[in-house]
Amino acid sequence: MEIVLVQVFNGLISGAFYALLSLGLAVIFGMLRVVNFMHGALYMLGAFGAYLLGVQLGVSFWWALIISPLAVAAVGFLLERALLRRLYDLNVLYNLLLTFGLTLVIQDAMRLRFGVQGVPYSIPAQLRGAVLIGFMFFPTYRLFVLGFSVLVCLGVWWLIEHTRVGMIIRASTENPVLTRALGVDVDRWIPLVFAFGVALAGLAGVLAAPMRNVSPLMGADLIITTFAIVVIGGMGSILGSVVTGFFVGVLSALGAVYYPPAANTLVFIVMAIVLLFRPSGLFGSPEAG
Amino acid sequence: MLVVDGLQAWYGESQVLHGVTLEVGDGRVVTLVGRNGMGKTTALRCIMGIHRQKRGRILLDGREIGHLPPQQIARMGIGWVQDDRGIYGTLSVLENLLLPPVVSDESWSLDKIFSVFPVLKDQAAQSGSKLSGGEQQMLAIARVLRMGARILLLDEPTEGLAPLLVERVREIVKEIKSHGLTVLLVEQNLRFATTVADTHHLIVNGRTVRSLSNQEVVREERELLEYLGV
Ligand SMILES: Nc1ncnc2c1ncn2[C@@H]1O[C@H](COP(=O)(O)OP(=O)(O)OP(=O)(O)O)[C@@H](O)[C@H]1O
Ligand SMILES: [Mg+2]
Repeated sequence: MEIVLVQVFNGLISGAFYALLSLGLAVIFGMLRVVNFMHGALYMLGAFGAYLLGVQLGVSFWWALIISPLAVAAVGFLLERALLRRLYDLNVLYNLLLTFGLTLVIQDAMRLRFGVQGVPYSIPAQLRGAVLIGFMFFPTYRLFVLGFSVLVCLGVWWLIEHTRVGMIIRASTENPVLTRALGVDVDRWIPLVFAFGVALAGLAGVLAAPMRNVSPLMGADLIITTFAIVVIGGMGSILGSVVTGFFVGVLSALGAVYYPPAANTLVFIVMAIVLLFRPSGLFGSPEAG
Repeated sequence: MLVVDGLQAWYGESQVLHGVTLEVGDGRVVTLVGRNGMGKTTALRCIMGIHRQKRGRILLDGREIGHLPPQQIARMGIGWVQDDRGIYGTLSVLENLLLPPVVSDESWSLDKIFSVFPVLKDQAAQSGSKLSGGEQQMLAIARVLRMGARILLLDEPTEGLAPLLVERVREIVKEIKSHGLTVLLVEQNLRFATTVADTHHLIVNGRTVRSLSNQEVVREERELLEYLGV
């Protein structure tokens, strides 16, 4: 019983990262119809951002939590303006290929500079140790990651449901052609939404820095599972990506206990089953996409 | 005034509009009438700047607008009500109304919208997908009125509606006209068209073949119905 609880907790922690990453992917896909393969690489840049800020400038984790995602957003903004936007009129595969290529470039550039081993990043002093909840101790930092990412997801959800930008994002996700024909300047929001989506990846990267090895390939494995999550949740569905993110985190963690060989495959089995019965994903609508 | 002159359009290799010419005077209700698949929707999509594989002239108050993107055409006061109504299910009814930016002084206030379309007020907080077909039609029209459209492009607004609701759409078109707005109405239903419009353009196989006043259409209704095959 205890092991199950521990694994559910660990699953929620992985889920927190999946949720932040797939949320960004979903927002980007909805608005731009771009499958952003770079997402994992930008997550990695977010983690390195925190590391470099700390080592070079003595910036604390807390400031890094703000600055590094903004820096990643700036990188995303520039890449969108310089490259991605040129391919919107073509098949979506072109931007998938472009972002895949950029991923390789970013990862290799980081590998040349920092090697494959990775660099250490320590847990901020305020969040060391463990907290007793009920009958078990939980690492404070992990509790923080969980709580913080839930808050961020709720915040993003609020933005999307209750602001004008959010309304434009929802409308463009559902029907981009009509939204333009109703006079909405969708194109003005595209680079900003892209920057926002990748900032979430950067944020996840900073959160990961103290508990996962900060290395050039840290985003590479994660991104594949994250894509599966976005597909299960329904491409472009905000709620779907978050809920599925946490769900898959827990599922993989439990799988690791009960049937370890399948732990990593489980998500793809779920994806296949969901696609059989609901091709547009659990929370997706058939029209969008 | 909206003028379309010699409009041609293609989907890939296949040409579907071979010369659509029509004139929509300010404050008038003008129809484009034709059978299934004759190119009515395509013509509206060309005017809106959505369909880009086209040739010919589209003039708004004498200015060529054929090359402009849809958001700019909407901002010039052209309101598109597409054939499937285009109501967003991920937006509430109120959000559907508020999505388009206000583009002119003609913009209807929410109060005015709700007094003309009381059902929308009652359901303002509902998801757009919860509305019935008739209500969605009202919302789609109300949405471009809120935007401040001076010219409304209505694509078969009566399609699939029960007789009572068709009657309601008729009243609304008349109400729009009484506010001095202009309507380009696409219809298969010639009978309905004659009860609201001033002039008619008949479209056959992607070509406008005749322009008639309403009296002429009423007089020749039999032959025209046969001619159009509707
Ligand atoms: N996306 C498309 N690709 C290829 N051909 C198309 C496409 N859309 C429409 N067409 C063809 O173009 C022609 C005109 O279609 P359009 O929808 O404009 O006609 P319509 O008069 O609006 O018909 P309806 O009364 O059925 O709405 C038809 O022959 C149709 O098959
Ligand atoms: Mg049509």
